[in-house]
Amino acid sequence: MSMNIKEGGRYCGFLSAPFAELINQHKPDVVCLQEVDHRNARNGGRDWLHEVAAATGMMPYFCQSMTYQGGGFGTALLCRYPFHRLTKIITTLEGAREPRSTGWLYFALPEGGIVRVASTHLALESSQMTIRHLADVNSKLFAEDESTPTLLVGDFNAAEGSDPISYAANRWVDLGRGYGNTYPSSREDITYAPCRLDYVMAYPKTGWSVVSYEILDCPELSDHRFIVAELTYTPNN
Amino acid sequence: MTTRTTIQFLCRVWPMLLLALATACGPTPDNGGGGGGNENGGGDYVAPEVPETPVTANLFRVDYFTTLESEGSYFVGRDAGVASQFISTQEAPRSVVYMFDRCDFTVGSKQPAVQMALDNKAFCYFLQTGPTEEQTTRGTAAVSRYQTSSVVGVYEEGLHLSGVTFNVGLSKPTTITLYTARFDTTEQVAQAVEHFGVDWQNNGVLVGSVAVEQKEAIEKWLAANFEGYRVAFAGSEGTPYDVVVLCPALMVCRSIEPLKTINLTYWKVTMEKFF
Repeated sequence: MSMNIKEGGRYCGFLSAPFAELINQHKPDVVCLQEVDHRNARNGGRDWLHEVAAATGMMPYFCQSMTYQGGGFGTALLCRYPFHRLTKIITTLEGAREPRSTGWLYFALPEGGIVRVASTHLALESSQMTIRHLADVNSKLFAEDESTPTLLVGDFNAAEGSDPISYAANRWVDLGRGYGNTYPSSREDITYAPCRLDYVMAYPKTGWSVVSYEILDCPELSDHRFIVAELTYTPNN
Repeated sequence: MTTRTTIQFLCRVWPMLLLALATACGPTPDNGGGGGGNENGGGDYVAPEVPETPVTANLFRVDYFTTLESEGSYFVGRDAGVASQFISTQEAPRSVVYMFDRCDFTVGSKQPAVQMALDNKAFCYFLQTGPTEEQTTRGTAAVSRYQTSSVVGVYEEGLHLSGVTFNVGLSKPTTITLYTARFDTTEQVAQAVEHFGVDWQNNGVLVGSVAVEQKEAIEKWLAANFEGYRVAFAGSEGTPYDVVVLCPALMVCRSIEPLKTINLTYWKVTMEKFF
C-alpha cells in the first residue's frame, strides 16, 4: 500500500484513526508512507505513526528526513510481519529545498521468501533533480544487495512518460501501468491535470505479476490517491 | 525463580570475565561455520587490561527484561503498563534501550512495545529471534528514545539474529549496535560470528541469552575461534538460560545486575566504552 498523507494528515486534522481504518480495511503486508509528521508543532505533538501502528497491529519505522517544528518529518513504513533488517538513507541534493529520506526493510513471509520494500518521496524541484535523487537511492539500495526481490514504492514526483520515470526503467519495472492516475484526488480545491505521481516499482524486472492493483480516492485524507497492490514474485531460474 | 544477589552474581561473573580475558586469544574465526571449535590453541591477541575505575561519561546501560525461561511470552501474566511506567520514571542515568526478551510479535495485535513507545515519546523495534510465523513470531522488543538508521540482521536456517544501531552520546559520539539472540547451540554462535564477528570486534554488543547446558561449550568455541572480544554471563538458579553479554575488547561489561520492578524481572547491563 502506498500513501502520501499530505503534510502529516492535515486534511483530516492530523488524526491517525481515519488512516488506520483504511489500512485495516485492506490489510496490506506493508504500507509505504510519505509526508509523515512526528511529534511536531504542526500535528500537535502526536506520534502519528505509532498511533497507526497501535491501531493496525503493524510494526512501524519512521524515516526522518529532517527536524521540523520541534519534531520530525519524513517517510515511514508499517509492516504486518516483523522485519529483521532495515536501512534509512537521507539524500541531500545541492539546490534541493529539503533533505529527503528513503527507508527500506526486509521481511520474511510465513510461507517463505524474503522481500525488501522501500518507501521513498523523490525530489520535485526539477526532472534532473528527481533523477539525481533516484540515482542516489538506486546506488545505495543496490550496493547493499542486488539479490533480494525489491519494491520501491511511493511518491516519485514525476509523471508517467517523464525523464525520471524513463530513467527508473533502467533498473525497475513499473507495476502500475494502466491502472490509473494517482494525482490529484477528487478534491475541489486542486485543479492540476490528472497524472501518475505514485508508483510501485519492482526489481528484478522479471518474475513479478500483479494480482490486483487498486487506486483509492480519499479526498478527505490526501491530495494524492493511494495504491493497494497485491503482487506475486516467482524467481526466474 | 530465585534470583541471586548482586554480590553472589558478581562473584560468579568476574572469574568468568577474567577467564574470558585470559582465553580471548584464539586464532582468526573459522568462517566455515563449524561448531566444534578448532584446536589451534592461543593466538597472539591479548585484550587490553580493564581499568579498575570506570569513566562515568563512557558508561551506557541496557535494561534486559527476561525470565530466562524456555517458553512463553514475557507479557503473559505481566503488565506492559508497568514496563512503560518504569521507562518513564527512570531517573538518570537512563538506559539506552529497554529490551524485552520474548515480547513476541502477533500479527494484527497491538504490540506492547508500540504502546511503550507512545507512552514514552520513544521508538520501538522488534528483533526477531525465530522464523516468521503466520500468527506469532518469537523475538525481543526494544524501546529506545534513540532513533536508528539501521537494523542489521540475519534470517536463515538455524539463526535469527538482529541488532539495532544507535548514536550514543558518550565522552565522544559513538555508534553502537545492540544485538540480541537466544543461543541454544555452538553452531548458532559460529553462524552468528560468521555474519557479525567483525562488528563484535568493533561496535557491536550482544545482550542475549544462552542455554545453560551449552554455555561452557560456547565459551570454549569462542576462545578457540574468535578474538578481540569479551564475554560475560549471569544467571538465575533453576532457569534453562543465562544472560550473555558479548562485546568488543574496546568495551567491557562492568556489571549485570538482577533487578525487579513490581513483577517484572530484568537485568541491568552496564557497559563501558574505552577510547
